[in-house]
Amino acid sequence: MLFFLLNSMIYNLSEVNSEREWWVQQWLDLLDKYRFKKRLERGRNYARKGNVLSIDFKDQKVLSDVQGTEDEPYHISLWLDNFSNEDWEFVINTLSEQVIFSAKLLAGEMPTNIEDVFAANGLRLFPFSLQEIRSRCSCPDKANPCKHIIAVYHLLGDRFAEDPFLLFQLRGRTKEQIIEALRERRAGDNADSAPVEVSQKAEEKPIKIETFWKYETPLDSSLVVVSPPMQNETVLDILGLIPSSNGNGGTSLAKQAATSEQVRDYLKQVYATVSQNAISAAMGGSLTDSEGASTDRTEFEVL
Amino acid sequence: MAILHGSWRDRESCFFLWGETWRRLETSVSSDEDIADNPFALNGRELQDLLDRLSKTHQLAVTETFQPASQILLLPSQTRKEGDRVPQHSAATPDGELTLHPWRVEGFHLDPAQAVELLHSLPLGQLTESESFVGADLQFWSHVARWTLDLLARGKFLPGLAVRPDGSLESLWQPLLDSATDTDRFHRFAKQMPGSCRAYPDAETGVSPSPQTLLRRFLETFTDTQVRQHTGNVPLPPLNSPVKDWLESLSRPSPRVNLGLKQAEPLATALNTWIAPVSSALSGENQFRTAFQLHPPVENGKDWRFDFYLQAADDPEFLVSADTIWNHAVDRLAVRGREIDRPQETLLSGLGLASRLYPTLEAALQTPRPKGCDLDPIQAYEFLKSTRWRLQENGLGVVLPPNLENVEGLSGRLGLVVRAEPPKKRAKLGLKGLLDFQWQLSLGGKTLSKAEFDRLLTLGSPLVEIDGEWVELRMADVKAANEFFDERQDDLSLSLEDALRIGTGGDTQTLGKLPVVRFEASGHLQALMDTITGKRRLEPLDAPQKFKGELRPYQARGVGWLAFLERWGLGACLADDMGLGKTIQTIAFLQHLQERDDLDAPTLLICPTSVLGNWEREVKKFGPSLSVFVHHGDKRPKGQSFLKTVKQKHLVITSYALVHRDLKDLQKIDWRVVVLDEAQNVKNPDAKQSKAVRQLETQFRVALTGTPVENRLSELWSILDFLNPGYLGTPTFFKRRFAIPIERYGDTDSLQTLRSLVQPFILRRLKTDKDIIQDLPEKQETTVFCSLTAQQARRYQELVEESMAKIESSEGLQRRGLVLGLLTQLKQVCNHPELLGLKNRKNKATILDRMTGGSGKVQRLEELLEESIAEGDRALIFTQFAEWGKVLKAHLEKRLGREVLYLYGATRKVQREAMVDRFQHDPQGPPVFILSLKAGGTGLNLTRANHVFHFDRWWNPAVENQATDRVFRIGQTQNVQVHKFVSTGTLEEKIHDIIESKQALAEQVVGSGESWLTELDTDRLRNLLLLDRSAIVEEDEV
Repeated sequence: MLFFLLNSMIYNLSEVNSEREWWVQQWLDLLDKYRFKKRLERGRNYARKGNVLSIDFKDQKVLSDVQGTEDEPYHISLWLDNFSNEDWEFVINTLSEQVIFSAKLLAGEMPTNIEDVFAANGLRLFPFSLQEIRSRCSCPDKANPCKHIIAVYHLLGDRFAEDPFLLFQLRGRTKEQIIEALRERRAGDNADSAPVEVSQKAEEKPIKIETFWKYETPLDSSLVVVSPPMQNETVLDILGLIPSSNGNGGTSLAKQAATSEQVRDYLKQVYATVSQNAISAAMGGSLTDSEGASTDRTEFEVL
Repeated sequence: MAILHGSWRDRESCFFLWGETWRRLETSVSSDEDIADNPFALNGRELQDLLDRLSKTHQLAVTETFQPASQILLLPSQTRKEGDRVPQHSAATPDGELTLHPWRVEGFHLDPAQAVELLHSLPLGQLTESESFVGADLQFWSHVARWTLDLLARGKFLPGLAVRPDGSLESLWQPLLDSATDTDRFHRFAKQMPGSCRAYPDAETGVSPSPQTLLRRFLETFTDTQVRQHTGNVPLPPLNSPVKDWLESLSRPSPRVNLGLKQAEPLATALNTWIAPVSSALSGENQFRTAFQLHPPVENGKDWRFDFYLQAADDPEFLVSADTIWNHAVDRLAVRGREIDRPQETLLSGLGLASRLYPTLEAALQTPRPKGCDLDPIQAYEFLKSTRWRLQENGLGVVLPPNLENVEGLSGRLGLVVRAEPPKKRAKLGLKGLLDFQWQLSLGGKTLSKAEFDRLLTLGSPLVEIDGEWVELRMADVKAANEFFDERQDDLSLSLEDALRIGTGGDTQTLGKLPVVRFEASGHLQALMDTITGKRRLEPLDAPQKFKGELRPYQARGVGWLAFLERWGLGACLADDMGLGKTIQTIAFLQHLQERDDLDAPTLLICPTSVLGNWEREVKKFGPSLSVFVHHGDKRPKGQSFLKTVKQKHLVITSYALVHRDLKDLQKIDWRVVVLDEAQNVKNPDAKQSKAVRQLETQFRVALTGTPVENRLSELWSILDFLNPGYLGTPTFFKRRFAIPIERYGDTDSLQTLRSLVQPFILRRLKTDKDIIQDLPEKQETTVFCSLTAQQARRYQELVEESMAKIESSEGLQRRGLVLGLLTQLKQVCNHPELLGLKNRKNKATILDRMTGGSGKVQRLEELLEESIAEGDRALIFTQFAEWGKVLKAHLEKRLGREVLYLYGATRKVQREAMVDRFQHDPQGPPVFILSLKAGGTGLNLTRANHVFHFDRWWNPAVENQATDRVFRIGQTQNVQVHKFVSTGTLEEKIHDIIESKQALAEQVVGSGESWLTELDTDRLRNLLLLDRSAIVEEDEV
């Protein structure tokens, strides 16, 4: 007879939780298609063993040093084809049409339909094949990609997970440039970008003598009973897995994911233990009579 | 008692703990040049002693290994007339101009782990003044420490990795203040932080940290310390470095991580990525957050509006609309005096996070400048019921219009409006008596017919608007309502007790599973409800014709109140302050019943033995129309003869001891009223006397007590359970529902609920109340009649007989000497029989063992002191016997558990001044001061006292008044009560009567001191001294 369902709000957190970010996965998948499996494996080994000494983003290029078999590390650069200024104008126009793109990006997430934005302008954000990724290595190996490049390529996935805007940078626009351009689009004709007067410093907080010895506030009622998190959901569920951090231990993808999950499971147990211990500490710790420990507020029934 | 203080010292990463006690300041204590020691601060040893003591008495978590330290504190200080400067004692009432001035203070440095333990072991609620050893600063941090436990329990913390300035790595647990609850708490605590927490200027900059900084650093340190303590033994999964090293370090007390910077860098990067969505909450820089405001549909519309804003973190009402944000393509935006950093991006990242938590939003974000979106009724309902909590818990703001805020509250709920009235026949209803009542269904404050209710259901919306208020139709309520219409409404009953609970707004009440949202009383039930909820002022009752005396206006209201509750058969606790006249209100009330012809059975009054005589006297004096019988003594009637004696009397007075012993006889009578005087005597519900009084049959119960009964919960339960059995539930229920939350955690909500439940039955007026104080004289003298114990009486009689024989056979000077000697001895016996010859006795322990049991006056003094101290009053006690002062001091110190001052002839001048100064100025000083009449009767200024006890008498009012004037002089701001002790049946009572009677003799008495006694002839002297046997008291009671 009643009409509404309460439980339609089941949040699908698994998407956030258990897998790699989709855009990182897509980047790495590209690598997996590489035909020369042996070289691929050697490159991954390099990544795992810490041979990649540095990765820097310089303008639209990735610059990296990789320790090879010689004493001096090899210098690697890696880049994608840049979009023209005109293309970017179009892309930014499209991005500005839906605020969700910026919102997700600024919350550290690549919108799942980002490729639609580029497709609408006849472009692709992600390289379609390995060949689209331009690279150069100072090693003697003629093959491209060589194992050094593969090692760098592999580790780039983590950097993208960290900052989805980096992919845009490889295509020719930095995060700041994009943000700035989008702001202007949004403000449109109403734009009012007059500089804001810089406000005074954080105000001085003198010590008040009248209340120097006064604290008559009773304990906040909501702190009387200390209770576990709502629906047993903690920040761990919101943040999901800690991204792979095996910068110098880049084992197989499967193994990396397993590590992240182990860490997550461990932390979950720690959070649960800390929560229980804190609750019992709040009840007075030594308090043994269970009757005293509970402070339920059941309705006052006629006794 | 000394006071503990302390605060967090961020630079040293330690908690500084110190103690303060009031001391008399002898000389100039602060010169301008150096920083002087704070004269009120405890030194290291005194502080350790205090902590050791508190660890025993209050289970304070104290270790021996606190590190001694010294700190400079900025404290409010005053420049005295002498030109020197003194700090203000923290408990003193400030007067004069205060400035902050540095002082050196000794104390202890506690490391975070020690501080955690200490702070959690402090009492969280406010203690009574005498017990409050927790300073404002320490109390504040104990509340913040409790908050950290709440953060831990709710998983509001995150692991991290930090690089120290020396390049080493440390793991850390950071508090995560992202939820609305915690940001609110943060701002609230920062605002409430007392200045004393920030009294520690930085050694280098001389600046005190801001409340926000200090609070944040405290939270960070204490979160980290406690999470490490509580991680327990969760097994670490097999992992590789560096994750393994990091996780290992997180569960150890020491934060050090043995990793090189290079090794750790990828981990650090990964962690930064991981926490990105909540990083602003971690850094504490979230001055603005994305917020959502829900608006109900406008006229005839169906859809709800859901708007986007930026909201100031410290002011929920400071909202900036999305439109404004989109219009400004700037890095910083100034709005109404505030500045928003990266406004668009702040709003956007909030929207991004929200869309993760609430996917419904995604659709709304597919436009260039969204200001909000529409929600259908079901979506709005879901948002209100669950999503909003989820958003708030994760750092997003939610704003509801006022007409939606009650959606969770009772007033909006589907429930019952109940109209009740007492049954037509006018018998005394009593708590369990059933009322006549009708009910109607109500939603959002409007009554509904069955048809209207059915129509609402057909709307198909879980949220419905009733007169502009939005209310929720809960499934369970709808079901209960349907059953209500369908079935067994006739089985429902409503007792007066139910009505009281509902009407006083105690805990939620339901009737047949539906909440009672409104309760309307009609007929004289309405008068009852209005009176007990304080809506109607108490009707004063004119003093009964035969009442000999005058009722002050508040007393007339008190009598009216007793009569009012009596009509309903509800037990009443008259808990007026000492000195406001509970006795005469009770007498007038009984006479009122008599006047109404409603005193058809005898009334039983039970009191401590020490006041039996006092009661009898007061009844004879004020209510002579009442026939009294004092049931006590070894010759008291039993069985049939008891019944026969008692049936003819209006009032039977007996003691608590006898109630238990003679219960069988007492139970045979159907008492008209049972009155417990000094009802705190039944505070232990398991004591024999407490059980006995519950078994007496009566129509109306009254409890009289002067102690602040509402603050002593077990006592409150016990008294209320006597008055209105079952009303506060079983002891176990009461303990769980009220005593523990209130006493252990200082829970004000529970306290409020309890107050409203008991308030109808307790009338407590304070002598400081505005409309009472004007009814009271500035100085109020009462004679306190105390009975003698059997031992006292025996000794008294022996003395009289021995001495009278000698007096008869002597003359002249010798006779005079003998008479005066006898007088002194008799007075001593009235104080305590063993006071005779005490001076020459070596072992004084025997008398100390029998102080209370040996003397009626001591018993009464203890009762009165306990009451006055509980009210925060201070008292002087005058005696003319120096030896007596000594034993009384020793006895009262033991009995009250507090220091008692004693000043007499042998007290040296310096000590004398010190005592007076301490009594007058020490905020936590001893509340009782004994003085010998000779040494303390003149010259001193002791205006802080508002009670004066004349324990023994010097029959010269001039001398007594002079002593009383120590208190009643310029500087006295309170009403003063003078208690003159008189032992009944003795010469004390007879002389008292002579003075009162204003005979010619009285003038002689007043004029000449005691010498007139020596002039009396032997017969008259004997008559005067002879003991009136009926005034003796049982001894075996104490």
